[in-house]
Amino acid sequence: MQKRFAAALLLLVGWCAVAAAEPPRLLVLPFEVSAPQPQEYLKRALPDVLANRIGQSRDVVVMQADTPAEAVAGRSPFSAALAQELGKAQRADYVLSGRLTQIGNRFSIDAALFDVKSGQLVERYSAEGADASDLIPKLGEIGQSVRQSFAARASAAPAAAAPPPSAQPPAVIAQPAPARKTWISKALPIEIRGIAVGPVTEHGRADIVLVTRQEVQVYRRRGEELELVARYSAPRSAENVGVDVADLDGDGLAEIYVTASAPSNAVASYVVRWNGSALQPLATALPWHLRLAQLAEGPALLGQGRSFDRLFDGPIRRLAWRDGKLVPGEALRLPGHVTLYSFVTADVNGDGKPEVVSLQSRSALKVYDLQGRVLAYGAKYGQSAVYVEDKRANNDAQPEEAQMPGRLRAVTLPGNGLGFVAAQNQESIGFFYRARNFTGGNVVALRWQDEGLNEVWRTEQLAYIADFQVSELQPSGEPMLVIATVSDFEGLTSKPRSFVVVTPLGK
Amino acid sequence: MKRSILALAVGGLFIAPAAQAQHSVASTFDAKLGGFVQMNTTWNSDENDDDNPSSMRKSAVQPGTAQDGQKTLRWASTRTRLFLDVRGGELWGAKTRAYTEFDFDGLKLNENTGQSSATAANTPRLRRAYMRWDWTNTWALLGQQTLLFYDAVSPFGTTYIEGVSSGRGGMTGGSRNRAPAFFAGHRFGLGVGTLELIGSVARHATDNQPAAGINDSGTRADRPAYETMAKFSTKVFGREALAAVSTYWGEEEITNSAATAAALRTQKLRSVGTGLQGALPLGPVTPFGAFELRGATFRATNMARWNLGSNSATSSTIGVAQPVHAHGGWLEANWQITPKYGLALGGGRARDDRNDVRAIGGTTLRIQDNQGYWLHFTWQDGPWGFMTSISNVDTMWVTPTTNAETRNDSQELHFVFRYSF
Repeated sequence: MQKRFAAALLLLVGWCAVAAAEPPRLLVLPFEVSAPQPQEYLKRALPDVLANRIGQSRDVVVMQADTPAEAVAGRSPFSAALAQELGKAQRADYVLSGRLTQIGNRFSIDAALFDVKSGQLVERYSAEGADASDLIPKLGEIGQSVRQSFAARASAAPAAAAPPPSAQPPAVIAQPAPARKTWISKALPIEIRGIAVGPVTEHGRADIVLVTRQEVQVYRRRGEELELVARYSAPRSAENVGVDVADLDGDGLAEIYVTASAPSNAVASYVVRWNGSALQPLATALPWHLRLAQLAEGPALLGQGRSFDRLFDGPIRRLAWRDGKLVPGEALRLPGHVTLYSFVTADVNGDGKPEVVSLQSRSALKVYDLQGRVLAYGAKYGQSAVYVEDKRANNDAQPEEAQMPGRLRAVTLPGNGLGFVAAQNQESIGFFYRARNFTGGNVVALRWQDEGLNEVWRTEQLAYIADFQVSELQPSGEPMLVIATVSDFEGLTSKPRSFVVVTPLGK
Repeated sequence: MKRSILALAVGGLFIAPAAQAQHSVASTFDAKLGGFVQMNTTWNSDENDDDNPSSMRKSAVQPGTAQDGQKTLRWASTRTRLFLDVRGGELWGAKTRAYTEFDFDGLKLNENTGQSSATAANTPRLRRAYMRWDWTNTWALLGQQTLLFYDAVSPFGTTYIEGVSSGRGGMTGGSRNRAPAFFAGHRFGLGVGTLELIGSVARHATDNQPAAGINDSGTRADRPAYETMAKFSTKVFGREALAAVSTYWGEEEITNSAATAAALRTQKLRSVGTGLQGALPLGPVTPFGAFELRGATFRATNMARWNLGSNSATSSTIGVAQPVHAHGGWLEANWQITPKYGLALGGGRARDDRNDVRAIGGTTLRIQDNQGYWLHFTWQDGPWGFMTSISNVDTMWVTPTTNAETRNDSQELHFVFRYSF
């Protein structure tokens, strides 16, 4: 009897304690929506749905923000300052904010829970879906995770004032900030043409360098955000075509090598570097296409010229700094049809001799031996939206527009040895010479099997892939694919939108 | 029993297929359909009965004719162009390509009568159709392509308007100058630049056949035309400079249309031309764009059909026929302001030998001196293209029997709208 009474008393005390403690107040902010088409209604609709899902719990009181969506526009939803400011204004204990990112049909929902008092990020949630039909269920999953977090907090410390919810693993999604497998940046209002990764502004720290038609932009990844560190405008008469970074002068910081086309069938490439406060030109009007290529003996900066008749003309030469000038050196011995964009020299088939893997515009991937014989054909990769229009000197012939072939990289594939990585973009029609309509793309890994280069894995479907790099962005040193995607191209009336996607190399 | 199962399992390991990679399906062909939709709107100070609105007018109209002072605004979309570009796998170590190009500027009503069309007749026209092999430094082409003699440098605006300098010193080709031919070329790296030697054997259209349709591939000559070109390019200010010397040689045999073999008389009549073409960058690419000088000069005999001169031969009578000598040239300064915007100012002149023109005889006015200038502006943004130009042509005629001179000029304003796909 005593035991029963004691148990009942405990239950009563516990219930009273729970009843006495006010559940924490959670404010759900309007979502930021990054989608190809403006979908303003989603900014409100998403938190409404989410609030409904969370609000069915008795462990938390969910409040809808009385703040108009415009009030948070232009500010990062993951800003602790914003969470504190709005949370305090509505007397909330916690603030939940989020972003919906749509690329093609796929979407990603990212949400963050902030403690208003401390301004600290408490927990992150994320979910991905294949199309719009997944949106509501995924919001439900996030709502359930949030509810479980608060339930766990309530059961663990029912009388506590309002400590942060526990990090007990929720059902599906909540995870510490840096542990996501695939990371997608906020939408960038630019049309990316090339990407490079390297220590441009700080020793030992990788920056992400993006080039658009007219600009070089250097970003640094801070948490979930890309922070613009520096930018450099190309000469007005030039158009950027591609980019690489390399520390060829040995000062520990990588220079940025930009290939740019110029009027009258010219190439006017340039090199810029960080001077401690800004990017400054190191060399300009270089008459070569530039590429940091992978040769059998290691990476090297290479150059190739251009002529009236040919977008790539003359031998491919090594370039090196001499007396402050970038000068051409020896010509490489390569099969005749191989052009600077894009090739890799490596012992592809393990016969002890180097072969050349080459991507050329409008051509299937080819593996040559050094005598120029085609050893194998692959599928078509490296489809690109970057045109270099060659206004020919002669007659009324159609200008020889050339699409730059995309990047090709040799890498050590986890569990697969030597492999090659290339982008493969899909088109809705794919039959027109110039009117290309890209619907999405993947980065594809290939390796030599059965006397050919065959696909061993590919990334999930992304938007059009402008360029990619393989780099160790993570502190763990794990090689990551750093991919630049474009969901909206710049047009006479349309604004561009691009994303940077970081995903592990391998399945 | 256990042993049997083990043996089966081990055996199964050997006969099981190796780990399957996803095989890529390789197609070595790539086919693209391209071209552009184009509309030309052209204002003329005097009606142009010589060519369509898509071309720069070649000469002024004779004073006092019905066309003189008859202002017109003409419209055409016939230079809308379609092409199919097929690229195949490597064959004999060469990249291979098949290219077919059409527009809609084919046979016109009344073409052979010299009367202008009252009604549009936008029939398709085969412009180019060739197969091509490209080795590293050697190439070969079979099919219809612009005659080699012309194909080095042309005025900046030629991609929008055909025949910018036609009849005014230009070696710009034209519809009759795309002919079936064999081409072969080789490039030599010389250290300081690249020398390309090209030879061609092509249809010789001759000057003395009736003005047949432009789709005509026949010829009265029993010999082909032989053409050569030596093209040298080198870097100047980090940009491409080009100089080319080209030659044309063709021969036809004219007859006296005799009723019997014994009465048959023949005379060989040659068409011979030499051209010098070039492009010279004026300084490096600057923040204000790039400047360039382009030009060409020629000497030719019996080549009016190729727009080199205004008269071909003095007569078609055996024993009397002599080729008319002509010379001319053009020069153009162009300023590519940005990759989107360009400006070009040029002028040219073509003259026939006065004595040759007078030898034609008669009282029909014959063009002896034709000159003009043009100013072009182009704007290109992605698939969109626009060009506007203003031009003037100044023509001088000679009356062969009296040696009297007659002059007139005409002005033209072009607006070209294009969407490439």
